[in-house]
Amino acid sequence: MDLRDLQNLKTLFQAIKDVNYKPDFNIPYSIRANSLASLRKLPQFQAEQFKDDNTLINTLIQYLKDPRKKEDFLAKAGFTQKQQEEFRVILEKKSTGEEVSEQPTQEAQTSEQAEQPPVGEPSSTMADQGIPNLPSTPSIHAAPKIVIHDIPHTPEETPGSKLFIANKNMNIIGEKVVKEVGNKTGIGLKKGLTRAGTNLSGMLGGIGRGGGGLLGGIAGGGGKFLGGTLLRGGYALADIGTQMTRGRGIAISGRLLVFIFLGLFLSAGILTGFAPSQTPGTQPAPAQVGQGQALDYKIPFRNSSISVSNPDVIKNQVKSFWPNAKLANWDTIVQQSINNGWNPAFVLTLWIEETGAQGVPNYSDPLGCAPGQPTADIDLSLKCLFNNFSRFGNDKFANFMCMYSESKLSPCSFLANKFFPKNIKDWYSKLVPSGPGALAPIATSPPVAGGAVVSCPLDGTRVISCGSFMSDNRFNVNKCRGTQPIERGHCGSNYGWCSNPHTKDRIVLITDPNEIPKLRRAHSIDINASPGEQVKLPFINGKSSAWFHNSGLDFGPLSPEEGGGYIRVFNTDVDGNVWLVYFIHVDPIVISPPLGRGYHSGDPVLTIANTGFPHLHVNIGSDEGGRKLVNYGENNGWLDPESLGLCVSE
Amino acid sequence: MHKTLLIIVILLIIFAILLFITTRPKDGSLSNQPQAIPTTATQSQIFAVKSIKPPVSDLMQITYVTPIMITFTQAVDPKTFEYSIEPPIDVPVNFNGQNVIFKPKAEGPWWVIDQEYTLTILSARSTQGVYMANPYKIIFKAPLTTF
Repeated sequence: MDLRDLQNLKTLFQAIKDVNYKPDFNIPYSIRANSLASLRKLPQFQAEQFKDDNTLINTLIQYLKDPRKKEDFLAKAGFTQKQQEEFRVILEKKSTGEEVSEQPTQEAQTSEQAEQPPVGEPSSTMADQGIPNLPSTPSIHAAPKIVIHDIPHTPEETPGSKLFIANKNMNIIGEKVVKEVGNKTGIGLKKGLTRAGTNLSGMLGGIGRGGGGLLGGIAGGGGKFLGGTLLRGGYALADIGTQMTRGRGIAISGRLLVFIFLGLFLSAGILTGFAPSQTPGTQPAPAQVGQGQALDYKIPFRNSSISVSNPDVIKNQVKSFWPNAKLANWDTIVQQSINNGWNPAFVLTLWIEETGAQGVPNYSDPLGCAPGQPTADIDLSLKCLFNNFSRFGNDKFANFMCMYSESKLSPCSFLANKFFPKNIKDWYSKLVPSGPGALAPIATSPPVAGGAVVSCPLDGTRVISCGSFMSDNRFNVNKCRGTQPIERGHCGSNYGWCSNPHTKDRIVLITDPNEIPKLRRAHSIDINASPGEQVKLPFINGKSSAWFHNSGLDFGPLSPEEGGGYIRVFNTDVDGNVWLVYFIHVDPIVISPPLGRGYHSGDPVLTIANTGFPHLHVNIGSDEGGRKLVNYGENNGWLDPESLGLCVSE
Repeated sequence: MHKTLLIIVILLIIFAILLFITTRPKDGSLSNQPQAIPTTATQSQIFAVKSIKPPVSDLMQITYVTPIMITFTQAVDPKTFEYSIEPPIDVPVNFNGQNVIFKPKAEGPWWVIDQEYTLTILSARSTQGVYMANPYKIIFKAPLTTF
């Protein structure tokens, strides 16, 4: 077991710990693969059965979450005493989320509270509050993330903001009041998960969080030089190597030189990577929860022929907001954007939106591309954008925006960065107010509030009485509520009957929490309704689409224990992606579409059944973003409806 | 002062070299990842199925509208692509470089619930003129799932 393995395991353990010892931890695929490969080197995981990832992970979790098994596991794994202690620190420290989630008062979080925009906090102030200026390296960590974008159009001071602490599933589990002082600064943890494999931080396997790890330590402290140079990737190292060997005439291969730097880097990591983790206050800021915004426009962001119509006026506006703006970089951005096939007006917009054209103090990255890898160098920032996001063409604007802001493909609700779409829209509209390249609204808008990705199938303001597994208590009432996230929602401790794909039982009560995230039924909401109310086909991504009913999946009646009524299933295609919706506890009759055409979004198709507890149960899934649209298993396409904004009231 | 600094730098470099030597991978590769794509001249001539999505382990529990994407090691020449699906079903096939996608139309016909299908790629040629060596077969099913 070498250093790389140890780092891999540390990353893996941290990720598992972050999701409270569940198998749905989230780390980039390449890191995950490397971590599991390292795990298989341990003597406990030599058996044939551990070639299966799920078995391996579930067994590891069983070891780690039980204190006695954990000690036995660490002792038998062949780790040194020091290494054991380091792993213990990871596994035993309390995360911010866990600490606050145990406080009963946090459970009564209201949606109004959640909607307070925690925006614009200057780095220095946040640091004073225990939130790091320079968060840990992006792309290599599963921790919940937040990117607080600068809000150029609202430069006025606000007295204070609540920063809501949420876990990975966007459940609010606490809050932190952050006082607002002075100028606003963009602070980010993460942009673009897919960069993991391309940079050195990914190669090293990802270390720790919030300055507790190797890279975090460098990024968070005095190692800014290293953070700004080495972390940019292997090409930077190779360049340095080439220059040094050429200049000095030293007969050292570029690869060896890379390893020398790597060795220096690792030696720093040895000193810092296994150091005890930081206090909760220095862990990455968790995601905020609030009502996100839909993307209701598109920009030809890869059309390099678009120009800014009134650059001097814009420069003056920027200067008036941020007197320290580095407008000297304007022409560099324009030229490099054109050279690399990007719309220069759009890249300028990003620059202004993210850092006030580098005019805000303590920004981490001029374009906000890699806030975890601080730099003031516009060339590096541009290179980051061009290297990591060029796979998105003009027709993938929504994917670009979601990936840049939320590190995932569209659809997204910008829940973590709720002002990002609006800021981009506002500034781009100033740079390109009309004519070719102007921002274009997306044709059809759904009749939904708050920018939901999927509209509510029931009219009016609704109450979600039971949310998805581990959802926030604002989506759960009565027995769906729970003090701990694991108790809440469908398939929680007290509500929901879930099928078990392994036992093949049609209906069983799931008792092993590790099974629950794999199940479609765990991604469900119940919406209060009255018998006879119409159920309407939803709009998705703000678009009306043709829907189809598959009578082959008609099922029912359900027993009273199952909630009664019938199941009806519909599907549609949106932008080439498949979407499926299950409506449950409805009357058996499917309402015909209007004469002369098939179903469209907004058409009524069903009515609510008159059951003991009249409500509409919704499951929704999609293969959008490359998800697996399968019935069971991890990383499948079944989505938490409330995370799509479905029937989430303002 | 300069001497001390020099000694520290030299020690660090020695440490780095030692680290390089001790961690040098035996196979000459830095990556833990398996080589997914052939790299030698001979291997590059191989034209075969590289991956399937959903993965084979999930093929017996797809939904009735789940597309099946087969990725080859090289771009596929659509004109030479021959396949069969048993029992027959009229599902469109789309070609996109190395990917061949069997995707039911939104309006159907869809994969019939609980029907086990056998998809066999009988023959295919890459755009570079390399033929697939052997037929390739997958079995899949869209089971009825309620709860």
